[in-house]
Amino acid sequence: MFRVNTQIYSIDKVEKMFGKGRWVGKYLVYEQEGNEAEIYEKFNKLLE
Amino acid sequence: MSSESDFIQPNKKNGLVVVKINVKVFPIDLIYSAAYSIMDRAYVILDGSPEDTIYAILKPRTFKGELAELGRIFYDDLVASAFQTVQLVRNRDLRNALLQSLVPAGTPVQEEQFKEELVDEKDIAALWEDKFGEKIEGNPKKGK
Repeated sequence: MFRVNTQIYSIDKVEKMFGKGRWVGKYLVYEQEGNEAEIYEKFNKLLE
Repeated sequence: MSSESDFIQPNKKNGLVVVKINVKVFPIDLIYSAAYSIMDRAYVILDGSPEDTIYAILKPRTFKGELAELGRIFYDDLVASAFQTVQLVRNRDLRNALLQSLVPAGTPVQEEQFKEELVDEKDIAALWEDKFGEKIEGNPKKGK
């Protein structure tokens, strides 16, 4: 499970990268179990 | 008095380092810039509040050194980005003056040159009928 801070990352980009998540306050929360390196890689892509 | 460990917190267990950044000192745009510049060496996850404190979570990607060193490199990038921004602002007037000095005052925009380029000198865009006046349908000899 991981969460993305939507005050820092654009919601559009986040949803394009990770899909629809569950809202908890300012965070989009994802339950998906995935390759950790792949998730980190996607976080880097969000900054590009 | 603050120490390095107040801002750079290595976590050997998880193999990452958390860098705490005061947004009043380093605005969010500088943080994005520093994050971008370290991306080839580390994975970067940003968290916190853009109005107060941002936490940059760095996990080595190709970087082979100590976790604390990675945090220091990130802080160096932040300072470098801040320096570049300050220099850009300070030199803005000088830069503009230099750019303006390259163009002589009163030089008209060369619209005529663009118009000439738009003229279809070889009549490439003209229709066959407009050029030769007769339709040719399937028989090339008919047109001659």
